[in-house]
Amino acid sequence: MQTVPPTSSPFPSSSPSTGSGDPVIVVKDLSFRYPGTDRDTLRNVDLTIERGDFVAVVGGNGSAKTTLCKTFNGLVPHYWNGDFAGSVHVGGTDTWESSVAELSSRVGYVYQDFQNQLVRPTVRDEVAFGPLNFGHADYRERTEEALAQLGISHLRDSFVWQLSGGQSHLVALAAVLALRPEVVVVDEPVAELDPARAREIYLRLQQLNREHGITVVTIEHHAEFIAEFARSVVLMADGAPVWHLPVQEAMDRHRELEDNGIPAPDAVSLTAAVGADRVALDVDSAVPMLRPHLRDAPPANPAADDTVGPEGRGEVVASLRGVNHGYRTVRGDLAPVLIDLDLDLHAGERIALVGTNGAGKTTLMKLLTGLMVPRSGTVTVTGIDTRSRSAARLADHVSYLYQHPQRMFLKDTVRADIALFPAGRQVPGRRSWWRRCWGGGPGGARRAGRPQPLGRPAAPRDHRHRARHAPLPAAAGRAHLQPRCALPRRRDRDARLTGRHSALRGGGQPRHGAGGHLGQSRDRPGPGPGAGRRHPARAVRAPRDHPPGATGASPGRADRAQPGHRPTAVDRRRTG
Amino acid sequence: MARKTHDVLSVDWVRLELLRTAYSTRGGLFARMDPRMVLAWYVLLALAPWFTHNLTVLLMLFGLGVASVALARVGPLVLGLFVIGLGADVVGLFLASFLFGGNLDTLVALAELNLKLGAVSMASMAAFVSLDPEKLSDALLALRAPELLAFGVSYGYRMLPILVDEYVTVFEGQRLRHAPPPHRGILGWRVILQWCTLAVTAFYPIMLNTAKNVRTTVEALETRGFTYGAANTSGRTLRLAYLRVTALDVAVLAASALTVIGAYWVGGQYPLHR
Amino acid sequence: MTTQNSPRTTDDQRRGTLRGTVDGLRRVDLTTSQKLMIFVLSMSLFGLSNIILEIIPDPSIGPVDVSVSYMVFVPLVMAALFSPLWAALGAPLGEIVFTDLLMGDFSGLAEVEGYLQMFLAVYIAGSLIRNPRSRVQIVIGALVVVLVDKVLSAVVDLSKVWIGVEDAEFVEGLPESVLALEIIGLGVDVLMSGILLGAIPALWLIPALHGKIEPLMGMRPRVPGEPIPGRAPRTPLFVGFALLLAIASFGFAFLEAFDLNAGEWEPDFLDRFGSWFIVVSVVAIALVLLVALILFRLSRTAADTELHEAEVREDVARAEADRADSGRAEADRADSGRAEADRAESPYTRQQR
Repeated sequence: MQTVPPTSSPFPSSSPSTGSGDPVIVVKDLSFRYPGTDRDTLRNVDLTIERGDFVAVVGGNGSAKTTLCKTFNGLVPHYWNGDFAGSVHVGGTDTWESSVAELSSRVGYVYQDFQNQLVRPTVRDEVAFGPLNFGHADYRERTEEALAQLGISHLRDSFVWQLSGGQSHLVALAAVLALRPEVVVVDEPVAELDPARAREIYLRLQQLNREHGITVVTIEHHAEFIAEFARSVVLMADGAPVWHLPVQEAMDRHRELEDNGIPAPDAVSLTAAVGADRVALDVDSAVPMLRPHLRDAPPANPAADDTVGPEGRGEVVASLRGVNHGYRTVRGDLAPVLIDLDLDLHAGERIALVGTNGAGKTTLMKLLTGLMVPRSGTVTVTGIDTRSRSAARLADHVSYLYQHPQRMFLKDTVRADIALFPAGRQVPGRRSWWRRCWGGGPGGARRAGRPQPLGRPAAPRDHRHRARHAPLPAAAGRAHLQPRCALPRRRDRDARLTGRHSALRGGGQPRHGAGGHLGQSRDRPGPGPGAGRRHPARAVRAPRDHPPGATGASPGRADRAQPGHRPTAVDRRRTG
Repeated sequence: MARKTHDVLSVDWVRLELLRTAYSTRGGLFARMDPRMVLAWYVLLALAPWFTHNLTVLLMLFGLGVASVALARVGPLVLGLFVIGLGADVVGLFLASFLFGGNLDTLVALAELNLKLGAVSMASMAAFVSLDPEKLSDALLALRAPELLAFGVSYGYRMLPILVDEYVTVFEGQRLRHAPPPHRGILGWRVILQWCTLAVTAFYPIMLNTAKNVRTTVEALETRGFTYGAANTSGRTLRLAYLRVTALDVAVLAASALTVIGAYWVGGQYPLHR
Repeated sequence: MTTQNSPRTTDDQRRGTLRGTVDGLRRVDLTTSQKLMIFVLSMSLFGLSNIILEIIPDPSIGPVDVSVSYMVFVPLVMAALFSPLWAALGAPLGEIVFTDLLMGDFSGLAEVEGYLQMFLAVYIAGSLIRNPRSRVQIVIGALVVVLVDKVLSAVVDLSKVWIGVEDAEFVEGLPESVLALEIIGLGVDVLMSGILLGAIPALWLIPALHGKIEPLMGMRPRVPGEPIPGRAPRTPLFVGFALLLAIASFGFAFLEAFDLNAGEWEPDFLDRFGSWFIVVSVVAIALVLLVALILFRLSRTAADTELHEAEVREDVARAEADRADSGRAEADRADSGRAEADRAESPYTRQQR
């Protein structure tokens, strides 16, 4: 790689929104390459971030968003070595000349997997950790201040492992704020949180931005959060910013965003569809724009409404009778999760199970798969009492996709992983399973026929995606029943195993799967692309808050029981 | 055989027990003491039994150990493992020496050895069950242990529940996807073999995931000045400023010392040797 | 509006000036954070494996314990794929922190003995695996871990008895039984820990993880033939260090054992030698440890110098090759040198706000 002198054409470098003319981060001609790779990850990046801005960095997978943000606090190049050309100035300091320790009191970084960012057992200690290390005598005040800023002072004596996801994220943020940074970088807060909690994080960030003047940079894929909270948007593609625009202009280019895997939120796409010049950023402003286009509702057509009444349903494939279950807490008492639950799941249904954290969704799944048996009551799946079979035997009838599928991958190659189930069980015709799972016609089968290493960049993205779901059909092998209770949870294969440094790239966090987090409450179809666009046949509210039963119905061909939350997986498989 | 939910002797129970132990949620006398003093107390009790062969003294020290375990409210898992271990030791060694022609004297020798070991073990149980990881790592720091050791202690405890959880998840997933052996074999050895295999193969995803998690952790440590703090002592001083020796500490230490001296004195009066 | 839509062809031309070193100049030594990562990873994983073993009931056939004492493959994988030194430092600590402290099984000085033995075992075994893809080396590594660790502790156990029964055959049958048990136990350990839960899983895991796990931690996979970071140096000094460490670990065991055995089999042992014996042995151990550490430092510096010289030679060759093309490489290197110096000097200047 040769080095060329800086071009003489300085870009009208992107300081679109606030225009205070006081840049806090200036990236100039930045290129970065990880050691051992043959292409630059960041390529000639020019970017200016104004003090007090609220910037959303968006872009497809592998567009180096995370790498870019890690240059702000000096992790690149001081922690991650590699070819580093150009410069990054933070508050006037050249990061190359500085150190991570020095920069981190200017730029705070909250990771996508923020759980791993918490290194001390209690919240107070966690937040005080940074100030203590740097020897700030006022570490107590800093700790209290940071906790108060985020409204989590009451958590200060909690143990970190007691916190919910949203609380953990706030604690990670507080720990960063305790160093009183000028800039806070938040890497995909939505990835691990349910939408309500993600929104809460955003509200806090907005407050920090407005009241304390902290510059906020978020990496985000959810356009509705971008539209609502960000002031400016940086679109990254292929290792370089495509543009950096105020949020309104960015949203006006929703098509471009969509091409980069960021589908527009409803307000934007609806107002764009009615031909608005400037799209609306939120629902409130969309309403007046949409009102002139209102038409009378078409007469209800009962025939088209395929809400299936109880009598029209298929046979019962899973039923719970008088099920009680709970867990022992650390203190030794029993915390009930499911109380006297009766539930029938019918063949041909697709069911979304919704509810807040701790409402017992996962417990219900695990009961259905036989991983657990209830403390009292019976769970019957395809006519088998789960008490009478081991979970491994029940797997012939029920399959389960974990929230963190990376925990499911046991083999070296996609093929071996998919073959695991049918081969182990001597499923007849297991060879053709492979082809069916992989799909893609003869070409696809041929491609797939080669043992493909999991996680090499060579594996095209959608193949990896398919590999995630492939165990599912494989699991359906012998059973005459299709996987009745396939429970698609979060995807994310490649986060772990995509080629070099994918981890740093933020590698493949759920783009359209963010809605697929089963442990999330949703009262409307998710914001994520794909996930929310197809509707579950039947929603079961988590039993703790509401009596179980069909509380919602939506159009959608219910041809297979899927109490899964993310029908995309199912559809993909069916077509595959 | 119908399956049931077990509250005791299940993986979940073990995890909870570990958590309770690690975070000393049961409270207890030593949890209220200054961690450095707890360590000093431990050293006292751990060394005391080694200077005598007098069964009277050892019995009294063993009694002191039992009392401190009770005061520290050690949980059933740790206690159970200890009792089983001690019992197995005695029985195993006794059988061994009997097999090779030992006699009753052997048993007495073993009794003395196990009394010593038991007293020391109980002291360590009482001490370390009562020290939560923060206190322990602060005490280690205060005693000028390497920063890495102190951090390792605190981080290890924090990661433990997460790692165990993750391991259980992976293991469950494996069980679901692997066919159970068609025949159980004699004593169910096929089942045992499969469980062992799964226990090992579960490490493949665990290692990859842990590697990724550790990377984030170490990066976060870096951004929060861990290496900076290790090189600059001001943070250490600040962190340890809260450590104070109170009347309770002195009282407990003095009482224990007196008991030990008393034990030796009583032992001198009524010696009981083999 | 659109600020940066440079044409594809120029994409790979860097506009910015390259800072620091050029990639390709491979650094053998690890950065501080990489060392920390290996240490923490090794500690966590080995601790986890120990907890799992702790939960599993230990079957024993009569007096012979047939349980697995540890999952050898875990530290072995870390040592083979990353750095033997840091994996070896972390693994035994994981055992102490996760199981011994947590389970109230902390045995004071014996822990130090265990730590030193395990450290030596993993360090030596890891250094023997020069090629992570070589099956033979992996098997040897797994066996060496168990042998070093177990032989050291068996020798300690046997010497305890030997010293104790030298002139007082107080307990008949015990010495022979201990000897027999030690030998049987060693065999069982080699079979269970060394092969079943050592070599066999390692044979599968090391190649499976090679090239996959390293990038996750921001490292380049090890290539056979390259110098291994944190490898045990093959110098006489290191052998001296290892021997001394082994002796020191004996010392810790003996510190307890002398007293213990004296108590069991030779009640007048202490009377004869007096209590000062313990003090003397403590001082002796401290001295031995100190000398061992000094030797270790020396041996590592020697090894580093060797490596460094190799690097320098490589650099020179590269620079000469580059000079044929242009003088740029040298200028860069000079630049990088300056930059390095600047970085090193740059103090922590930022004041509290």
